[in-house]
Amino acid sequence: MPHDAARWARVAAWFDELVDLVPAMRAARLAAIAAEDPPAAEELRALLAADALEHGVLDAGLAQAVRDLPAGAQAAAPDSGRIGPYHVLQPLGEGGMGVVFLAERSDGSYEQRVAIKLIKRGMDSAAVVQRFLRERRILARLAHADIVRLLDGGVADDGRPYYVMEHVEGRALTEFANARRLPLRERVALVARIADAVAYAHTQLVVHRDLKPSNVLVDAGGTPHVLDFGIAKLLEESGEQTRTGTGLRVLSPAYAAPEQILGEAIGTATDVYALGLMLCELLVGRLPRQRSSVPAQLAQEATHETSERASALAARLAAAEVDALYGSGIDAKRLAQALAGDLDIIVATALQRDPARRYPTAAAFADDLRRWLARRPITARADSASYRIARFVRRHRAGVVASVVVAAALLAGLGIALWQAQVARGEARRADAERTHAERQLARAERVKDFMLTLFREQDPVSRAKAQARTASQLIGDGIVQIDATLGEEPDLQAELLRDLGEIQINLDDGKAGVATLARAWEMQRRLGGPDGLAATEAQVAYADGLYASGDVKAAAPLADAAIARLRDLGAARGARMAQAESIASKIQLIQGNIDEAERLARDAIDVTRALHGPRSMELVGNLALLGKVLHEGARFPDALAVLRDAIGIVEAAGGADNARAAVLHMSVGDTLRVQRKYDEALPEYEAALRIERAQLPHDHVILGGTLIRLGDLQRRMGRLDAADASLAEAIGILSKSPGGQYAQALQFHGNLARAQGRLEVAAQRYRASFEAFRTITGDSVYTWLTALEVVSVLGELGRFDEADALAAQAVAAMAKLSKDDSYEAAYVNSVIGGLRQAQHRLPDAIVAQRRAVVLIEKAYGPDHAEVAQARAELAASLVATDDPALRREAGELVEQARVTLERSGGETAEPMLGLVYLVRSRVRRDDGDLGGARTDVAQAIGRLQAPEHARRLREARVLAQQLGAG
Amino acid sequence: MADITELIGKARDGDRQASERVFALLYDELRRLAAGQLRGEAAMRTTSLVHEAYLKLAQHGALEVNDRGHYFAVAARVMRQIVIDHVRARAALRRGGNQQVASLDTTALQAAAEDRGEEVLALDDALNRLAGLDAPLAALVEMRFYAGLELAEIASVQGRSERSLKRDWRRARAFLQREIAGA
Repeated sequence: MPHDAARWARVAAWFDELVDLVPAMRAARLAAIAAEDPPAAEELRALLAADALEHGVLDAGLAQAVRDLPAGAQAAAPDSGRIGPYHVLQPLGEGGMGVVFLAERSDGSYEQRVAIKLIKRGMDSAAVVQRFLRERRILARLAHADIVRLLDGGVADDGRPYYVMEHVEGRALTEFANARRLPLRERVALVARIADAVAYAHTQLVVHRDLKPSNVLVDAGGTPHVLDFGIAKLLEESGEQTRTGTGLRVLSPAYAAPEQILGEAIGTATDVYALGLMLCELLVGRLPRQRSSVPAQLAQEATHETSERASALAARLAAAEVDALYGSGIDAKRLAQALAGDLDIIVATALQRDPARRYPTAAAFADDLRRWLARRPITARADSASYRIARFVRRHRAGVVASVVVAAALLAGLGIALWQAQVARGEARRADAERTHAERQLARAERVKDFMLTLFREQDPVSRAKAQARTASQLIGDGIVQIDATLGEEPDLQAELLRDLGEIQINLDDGKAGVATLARAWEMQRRLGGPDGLAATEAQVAYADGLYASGDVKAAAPLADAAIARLRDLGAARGARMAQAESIASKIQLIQGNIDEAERLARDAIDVTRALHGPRSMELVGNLALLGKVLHEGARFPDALAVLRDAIGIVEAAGGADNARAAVLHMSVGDTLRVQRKYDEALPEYEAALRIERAQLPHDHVILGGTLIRLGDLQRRMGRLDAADASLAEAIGILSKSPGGQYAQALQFHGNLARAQGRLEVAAQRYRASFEAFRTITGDSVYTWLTALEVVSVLGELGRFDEADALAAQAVAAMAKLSKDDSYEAAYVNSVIGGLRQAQHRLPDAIVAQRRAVVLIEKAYGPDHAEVAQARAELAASLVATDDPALRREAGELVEQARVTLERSGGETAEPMLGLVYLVRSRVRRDDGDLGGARTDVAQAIGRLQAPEHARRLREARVLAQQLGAG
Repeated sequence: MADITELIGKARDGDRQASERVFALLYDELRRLAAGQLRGEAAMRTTSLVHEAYLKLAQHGALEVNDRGHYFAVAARVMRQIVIDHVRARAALRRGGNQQVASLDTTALQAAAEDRGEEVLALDDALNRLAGLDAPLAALVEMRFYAGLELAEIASVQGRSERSLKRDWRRARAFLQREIAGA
């Protein structure tokens, strides 16, 4: 094919030329080639696209592409026989990505036998190494008697990472059970215990993902040790799911859950599935289904997977097989009978194809096994309440959202209550004296749990009591009635629960009811244990928090201060309620402008919380956010950013990057960057907040509206007007559903945008809508009338002077009542009125107002601020329009001052202001007879006044340029 | 071994039969090395294989200096053949493999989930098409990808600049990736 070869030579030469070009030049050259030889250009495009592809088989290298070449290769220990300070004794086993060696520490400090997992040679691609290192981090966090402990880690001399685990002398789960001919009940108990360890890991947000009998070693004492959290990954708390994604699936297909094979979302239910398989294999010696070896078929089967019942598998076992499992005491028929019923259901529930239909947690699975052991009815059989909850969440997503808000608030309380209950159960067994206390904690936990279930049930049209779902607030109201009716005998429990529910009411924005409930809780505790007791003081803190949250800062302040003093007297200065009280007090100090005191309190709250919960606890996040805000208000922006980013780091480490709590923090970081005009850096922060909120919240949640307002305003400042329009329109759509201050604010920003686009009529409409919204929501507030002044300003630009005058008169009167004569607001009033008068050519009036504005703004900002320069330029524009030579001279001086200030300050608002400065100076120079200077200045002005919102000034500049014959 | 050096000499001078013999002999030699040598290595290091075979030949003293380039080219072709044969054999094993055995053999399954046998086969086809258009370019790919030689090393045996080889490699890579993606 000489023709093809010749063609290829041509294409090849062009390719060599094109690859080195920058994209723009490349496109131009390609277009030229296309004119000459269209098919060659087409081929070149394909080649260039292929050139840009990454991770192709050629890039991976042969060893990566064909892993098992040559057959039977094994991973080796380093030639030196040493890994770090450890001396390798023998290989223990091999997994998908690593080899495990038995080793001992050999530096003479102490003798200890350990297991070392060393990454295989040839697999140390960046992705695997990264995963390996992550595994090391995760393992280090898990501390549980039945989870193999991480001792050490490092990188071996040959660059392979390794980690060191405690060495467990034991056998794989199934081997152990069969060798001992463990009876049925002991097998079930063993799996329940393993499930407990897995459940613990789940509370640490770690999913194992690769549970199988060989990953559970049982020692001679019968204690299981769960190994190899190798592909565990932080369970992202997002509703958006984690995916395996990387293509590096180092899992054992025989034990993988369907969602792992299909690349679907992985979660705690994935481990529940594996536990179910493990249980089945342990009970009957085989897995309930076979997996194909062909990947395509594997996926096909996983999609429609059904599992056989354990009892059916048992019934088919040969006598020898049963004997190998249990010994001679039982035959296949009796084993099948023992499994039929509850154990079949437990296995089947764990092995549901749909993760939502399985046990929601390993703990629930373990619970059911214990119920079976205790011969109590299992939950899977009763009604699968958890399945119903999951189902409601999916079917009634919208309705559930409301209750999820409640549930989230409750979960914090519930977590504590359940933990206390767990402790209580242990205590109850140990000491009778503690029994009463323990039982009360249990009762409290049960109440809270029942309550949560009620919330979910309420979303189910079939099971709820009334035709319409009650709102969360109504439910809590009912809950309080119930508590009052049933707990009169136990006033302390009653008071505690009232406090819990009152706090939830506050979280639900039901401030009035919440404050009332918390006041009752406080009152009851004062009666029970005296006004200065710990319980009363703690209730007082909760009450103060409620007051603060519902806006009654005045009442909250003395209560919080008193509580802080009393907690200190009571020796509870390092308790959780102290941190809460300090954070309230800090917020109040912040509002009152006492930044230093606010900072001191916030920092102490952080210290207390850190001592209580550890250095990287999620409990710290709220206080760090507060400190960030305090520092921001104190204009210590770098410090504020550091604190906020620290908080984000904590959230991400604990709950993944998509944790909802990170959203607010990103927003604060964005705010801090925005006020420093670091718009490019602020943008990704707002976008990150938005992305999280879109994933976590319903599409019309008010929080989304708040983020969109910020984002839209920022986009406008950055000149991305179309994007800003989209953001603000969406924000307005969301916020219009329950119009509040943010809604009016969004309308105002939307007005700013229309103005920036030069759409003055639209801007006037939007500002007017914003003004009316503020008036409805906040009455005659500063916001209302500052917005009215925006309307006035735009009407003046439009030449609609009658309307402008009428509204201006109202605004001036209202502002006179609202703010002091020398306030910044007064400056703004004067500058708007001055601008209007200037547009009306009422120059003496304009000059009076604008002089006043300059004085006031200078007072607020000092003489060298950009705002002052702007006011000076505006004043100069009026002065230069008069016939008075002295005033014109003054104008010349003013614009010179303004020019110096503006050129130093820079920023996106300085440029158009400089345009005005040059316009005024051009006039001054023309009048002085300096026509050349005047022409240069007017050209400078025209160049800077191109944005649509400066259309009027641009017209003036063009007219002047024509007069000067400048173009 | 003495045979093979002689044959390489003849093959270089255009003896077709000698070429085929060299190929067959190297095939066996490299495969033997692959199976035996580097025990304990997780993945075969083709570079060391090819080098080791070369050293054995060179020790016999019969390889002339200018045979070196030819040797590497042939060895690379051989490695390519070994790899393709291996991937095909494994695929055939899987197609015929019965599930009972397969479900126990998680190593093989894992390989199915992880490695890129299909892509390796597609690459082989694409490389044949490239050889039809530009044989030296295809030889370069063989030496770099299958024999695992560094561009600097190839440059030295071929007496070319590394820079121009780099350019060739990029062009070859684009061609092959386009072919694989379009397949």
